[in-house]
Amino acid sequence: MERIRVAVIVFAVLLLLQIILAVRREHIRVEYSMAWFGATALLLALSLSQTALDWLSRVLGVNDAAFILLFVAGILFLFTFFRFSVQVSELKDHNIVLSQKVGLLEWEIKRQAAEIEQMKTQAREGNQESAKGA
Amino acid sequence: MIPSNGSLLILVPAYNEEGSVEQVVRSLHKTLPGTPVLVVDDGSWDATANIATQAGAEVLRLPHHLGLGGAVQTGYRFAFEHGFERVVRVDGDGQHNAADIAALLAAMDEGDYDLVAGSRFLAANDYPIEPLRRFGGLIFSWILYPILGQRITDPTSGFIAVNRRALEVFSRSFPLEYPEIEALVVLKRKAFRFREVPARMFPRTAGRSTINNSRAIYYMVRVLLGVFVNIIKFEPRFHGGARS
Repeated sequence: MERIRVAVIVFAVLLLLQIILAVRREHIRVEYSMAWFGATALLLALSLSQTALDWLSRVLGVNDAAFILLFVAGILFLFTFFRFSVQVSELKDHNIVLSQKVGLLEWEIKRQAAEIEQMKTQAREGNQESAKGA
Repeated sequence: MIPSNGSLLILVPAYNEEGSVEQVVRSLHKTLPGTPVLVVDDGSWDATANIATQAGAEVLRLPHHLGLGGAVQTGYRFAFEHGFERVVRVDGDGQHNAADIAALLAAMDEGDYDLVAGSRFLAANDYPIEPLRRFGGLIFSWILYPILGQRITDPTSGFIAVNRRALEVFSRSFPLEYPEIEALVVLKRKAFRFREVPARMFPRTAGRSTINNSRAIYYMVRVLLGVFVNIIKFEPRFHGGARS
């Protein structure tokens, strides 16, 4: 049991450091780091507190504390991944709308450019005819 | 340039269709002279956009590949914003017969339908329909019957006419991947009317279908999940969004 607890503590600390570094270097936005901070902090707290681990073991009716630790870690990260899937879906929605707007606006710009070109041609032809008339 | 007061727009979503798009556009112009043809180039890396422009189509280029639903919805948004009353979608692979567009529109007028789809299974076709596609069509037809309340023989058909009411719905919300079946469920939820008419279809003149044997299972699961989600879902949370 002690080995798995030590392993989880080391893993959680490393992950926490990695998250802090990523936030500092702006590789991850603060709002997206919240879920990771929360999950890692909870995992760390649980692996450091024998009392909390024993209480959870009793609640879930499982005697193996190592299993509980890994189970909680799995659940936490599943929730975190799900949260990110929701955010990725939102970003994809926004991305599609923006791409469509870009396509529609580019078409409109081309249409207006062609109209301006046509007006210029008409104006040039009008000027030439006026010059001939004069 | 496309007139804003036009009543009918032909929409051709195309992704890497340089081998067939010219023939498709020319055939549409020949069959329906004066009707604007809009090719939505879905981020092709080949010469699709240039060839379509040279063939006389209006081309709307997307900055990157969105998938069939994203491209079709772009065309629907365009049509809705420019005041078109009806849109007929014709695939850029040359499978659809421009001569059948009149039948789609006539059926729409006859029964005040919001969507009319061409079905290859209702017409005598010269080319063999792959057994997997036929089997998939049957499965979907059977599953969709209680949901749609009517039999759909060719649920994957991309030869579709829609009126302005359907355009309004689809320009706001349209499925992204394999959109045809989900689009029917979306319309059914809104109590819109749709039907099928016979349509002759040709083998692809170039390129490859996105639904091949290895993707067929993914396709079926994805579409069934999409149908299920469309039955149980709330209105879209992102109102400007592309999601169905």
